[in-house]
Formats: sequence, C-alpha cells, structure tokens
Amino acid sequence: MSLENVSPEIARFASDVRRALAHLPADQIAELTGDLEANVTASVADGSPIPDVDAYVAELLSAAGLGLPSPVPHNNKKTFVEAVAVLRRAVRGLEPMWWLLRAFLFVVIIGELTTNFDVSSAGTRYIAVAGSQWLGIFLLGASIVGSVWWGRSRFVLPSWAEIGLAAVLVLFGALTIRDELRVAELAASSLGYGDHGGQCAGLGYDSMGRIGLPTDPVPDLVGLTSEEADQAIVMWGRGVVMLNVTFPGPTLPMVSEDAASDMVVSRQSDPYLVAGSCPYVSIDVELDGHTSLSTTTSTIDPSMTSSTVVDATTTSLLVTETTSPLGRVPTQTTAPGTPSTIAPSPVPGVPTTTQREG
Amino acid sequence: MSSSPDSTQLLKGVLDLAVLAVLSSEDGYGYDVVRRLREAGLRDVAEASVYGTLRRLFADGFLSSYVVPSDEGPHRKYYALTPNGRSHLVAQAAVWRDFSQAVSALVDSAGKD
Repeated sequence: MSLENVSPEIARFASDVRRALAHLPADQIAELTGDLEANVTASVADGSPIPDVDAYVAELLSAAGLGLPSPVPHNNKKTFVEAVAVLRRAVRGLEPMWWLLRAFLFVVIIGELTTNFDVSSAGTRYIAVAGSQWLGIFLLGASIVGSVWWGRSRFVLPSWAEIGLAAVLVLFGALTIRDELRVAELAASSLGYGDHGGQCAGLGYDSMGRIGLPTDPVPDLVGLTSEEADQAIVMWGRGVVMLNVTFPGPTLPMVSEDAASDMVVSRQSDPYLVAGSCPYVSIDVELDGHTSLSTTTSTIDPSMTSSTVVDATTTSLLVTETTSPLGRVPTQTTAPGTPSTIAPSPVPGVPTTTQREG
Repeated sequence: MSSSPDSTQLLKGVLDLAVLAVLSSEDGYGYDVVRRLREAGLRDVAEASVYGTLRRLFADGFLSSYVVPSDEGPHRKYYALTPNGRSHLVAQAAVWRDFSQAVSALVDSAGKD
C-alpha cells in the first residue's frame, strides 16, 4: 500500500490501531490492517469522522473472531503507556503555537542577520528585516503561512533534524531577543531618569546622572568662527553640550579641522540629545553655508512625546527623555519663574510635560 | 434503519450473510463493501466490523482477494467469492429465509388481535 496520499491524521489513526493490535501475531495484524489507510481515507472522503481507536479495534477483533487483548498483567506498564498517550495528545494540541513561534523566531534571526544595529530602532527590531519593518512584517506573514503549511503537511523531517532545527531556532532566537531587550533597556536608561547612578555625575550632570541644561539662552553662534563658537558652547554648556561641526561638504572634502576653525557659522540647529552611556546635548552648526545641517535633526517626528524635568533645588533645566520612533530629541522649557530665554522647542506644537522632582 | 443498539445486535448475526451477498454480485474492496451495505439500507453497519468479517470469511476460505493498484490513492485489496463462499452463501441464505419467515410470522401474529 502506498502511503503518500494518506493524511497525517489517518496515518496516526492507523498506527494507533496497529499498536492496539500488537498482541496479535504479525501476519494477523497485516491481514487486519493491510487496507486500513485506504478504507479510512475513503470513509473520511465520504464525510465520516476518523473513528475512535478503541471502538474500532474492538469491532475489528470481534467481527474477525479474534480475542480482545487480554488484560495486561503489568498494570504499571499500561498506565505508563496511557500516560504517554495523554502526553502526546497534549503536546499535539500545542503544536500550532509552536508553528507560530518558530515562524517568529525565524524572522527574528533573519532580522538579526540583515539589520544593522541602531539604537533608535532598539526594541522594534525583532521583525525588521534588512532594516525594514514592512519587509519584516511581510516575511513574518509568509513564515507563518509556510510554518503552518509545513506543520499540517505530510512532509516530515527525521526527528533528529526536526529537533536540531527547533533547538537552533530557539537558541539563536532567544539570544537575539535577549540582546535586543538589553539594547532597548540601555537606550532607555541612557536617556532616562538617571539610571546611570554616579557614573555620569559631575559637570553638567546632576548626582543622578541627568543632564541639566543651562537656563541661559542658547548663544547665538551665527557669525562666529567655529573656534569661537566652540568656546561659547563650552562656556554655556558646562560640559554636556557639544558642537557638531559639519565640514563644508562635497565641495571641499579635504578641509582640515584647523582650516575649519576659521570658517564662519552660517546656521545653527536647536540643541538635541545624543544617546549614549552618558548622554549629551549636541548642536549642529553649518560652516560658511557649504554644508547642510546634520541630518540628525531632520528625523524629528511630530508624534513623539517628550518630557522635561525641572530640578527643584537648582531650578536648572533637565533635559530628560524624549522618545520617538525615529530618534530622541530633547525639548527645552524654562524652569518655573525663569524668563523664557531658551530657543524654542525643535518641534513646535509638541506638548511638553513638566514635572517637579522629588 | 434507526441507529439503535438493537439493530447493531441484529446486524452482527447476519453480517456474514450480508457481506457474502454484496460480494456475490460484484467484487469489492473494504470500504466499497461498507458503502454497498449502507446503500442497501444497513446504515448502522460499523466499518471495522465489516473489515473484521471480511478477514474472517477470507481466513475461512469463503473469499479470495487480489490487489488493484490505484492511481489516486492507496492500492486496494478486492475480495471475491470463492466457490466455497458461493455455496456457503446459498446455504446461509436458506437458513436466513426460514429464520426470518418464522420471526416475521411471529411478529405479525403478535401485532394482530
């Protein structure tokens, strides 16, 4: 009998029946079950359900004039066999969940192999493939379909291969997810409410490691040379504000830093937060108008939320956390009672929440 | 025929005869016999009991079998009556007629008066 056209359920049923007939001589089992798959397949095709194994075997044996299996003397063995059967049924019930999980893990691993590390996408990268979340979602859908199809098909790998594949998926998938969570946590903490402890404390940071922006207005750097601008920012920024000087772009690619120090700032950006183990605030400046502003500030997403903490004791401004799907950018606000002198928020119209510490 | 345990009990007694009768007109494979019995009105017939009966009649020499390859599905084992099976059918049919006539007469007379 050829087995290629037998559904997995019927193949399972047939093997259960043969197991239940195991007390008979092999030739009798072969005679009784030689056509089993063909018959049940035809019956199921006619709309009948797959029969109950025990009732089926009892009918088969009594009609064939053969005895029912004598009560097994070793009751423990029977109980064990039954327990294994119950366990197998339970595991089989969980199979569809495994089909979904392995599809997800597959996409996670493919994403890990094809996507470059990027703090801003930490935590959302699980299903990004080649840097694209849409590609990831598409691949996830395709993987689920494929995984379920495979699970329901008759195409079965040898069990060692299946177990090996599952182990690889689970191991690498779990490692990837763990790393991802760690990166996400790191990214959140380096921008957050002082998870650095004393690590970043000092000039420009408070004892909690948070950035305190000066309450003075951001100096106007336009018209200054880059060297003067640098000094002005060092004076103003107390060590937590850096200038991101973009050299005149493609037209003068070989310009040195010394040469650039004489160039004049033509534009400056609003301050924005740069993530890191000790986060800092950066201001992009454009020299001589040859370069465009760093693209960092162009990734601001209006949907982001921001929050600003005001330190009650120093009334210094604390830029804390802004989160955005695309990037993290600070929002400034003035401490209560302080005249508003700081440059406007890089994202006009975005509501800021202000809370008091302590 | 209703699906009652009674009919199932009755079926057991006459299944040999019914299977032999089905196969006397045309050879058939396992499920084919089931289907023909059901079409004839024995809707309660349990598949496994038919397969067991086929196996027993085969072992008793009343049936022969041959395998027919099938393109779409598993190969099928066809059963055919042997000469022995045919004479057994004739003898059993006579027993059945006598038996059923007697029972029918009894049941009919119980229905009257």
